[in-house]
Amino acid sequence: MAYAFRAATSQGNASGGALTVTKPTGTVDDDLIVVVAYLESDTNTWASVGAGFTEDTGANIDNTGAFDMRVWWKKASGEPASWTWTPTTNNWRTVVCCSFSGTLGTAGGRVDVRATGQADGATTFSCPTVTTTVDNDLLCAYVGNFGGGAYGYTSGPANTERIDFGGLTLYSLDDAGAAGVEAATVLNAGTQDYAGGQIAFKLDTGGGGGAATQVGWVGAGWW
Amino acid sequence: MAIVTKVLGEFNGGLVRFEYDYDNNDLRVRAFRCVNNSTEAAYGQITRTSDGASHDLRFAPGTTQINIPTAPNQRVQLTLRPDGKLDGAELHLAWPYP
Repeated sequence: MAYAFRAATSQGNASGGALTVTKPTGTVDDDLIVVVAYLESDTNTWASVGAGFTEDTGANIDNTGAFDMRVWWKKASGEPASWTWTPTTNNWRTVVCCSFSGTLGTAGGRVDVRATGQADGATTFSCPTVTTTVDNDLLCAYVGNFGGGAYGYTSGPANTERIDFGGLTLYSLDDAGAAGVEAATVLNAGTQDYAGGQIAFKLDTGGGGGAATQVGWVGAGWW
Repeated sequence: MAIVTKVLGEFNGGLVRFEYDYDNNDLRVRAFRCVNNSTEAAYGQITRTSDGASHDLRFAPGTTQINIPTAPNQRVQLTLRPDGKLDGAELHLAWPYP
């Protein structure tokens, strides 16, 4: 079973402190929850985030001098109705949250690959190419822009807009198919300062590690 | 004077869209809308950061346009920043919504 988008929420898009991030409708145990946050400025940090979320530090990217972008994920398990994200210093912050059905991979790291980039004064932003190492990843493209403009889709594999809110967006390709090169996803929000990337999450194929074994009854013994 | 429409947020490739109109002469916000062309409901909540007062609505599926009330007692005292962002109110959007 491949990943499938379930629901999305967005919150903030204003100056302030602690932010309540609402669980997307219908999220159930074993769903993959992805949270992407935009925070001004590039030197600000998050003092605390929702319990049990793992930050993929490789997906962090700043737009120098303007804002900070981060990605967290979690395999849902008895989740509350909401979580709280608190910046170290109150400032402009925007958070989007998406849930996907399917079972997050359990072995060898749950994020397969990621790549990030930033651009200043550009008319489009290219979320960099990644090369997935396993089949059927969930590919997400995430971008923030300083001006808060809404995005249009230009090209690339992550071609479905899940949420676009206050200059922060997440597009996805729920089943990236066979492992290999996933081209850049290019989005546009007018002339802006941008930062973002592409991140691929592994799908749990049900294996627990090691080769499959067979047991059968043949004649007088087991083989 | 011209009325400018700006998208606050959208879901599913724009099938669900929250947007507002403002007058680029006096910078007053004239209207908020949710355009919900999906088969699922959407939800929007706006909370004034100065005192926590909030207003929320559920937008039924297939709704082409609903103007969010802008009566005096429901105004949220938004500020337009030089970079074009609206400040002064927290926004929470969700789709799909029960």
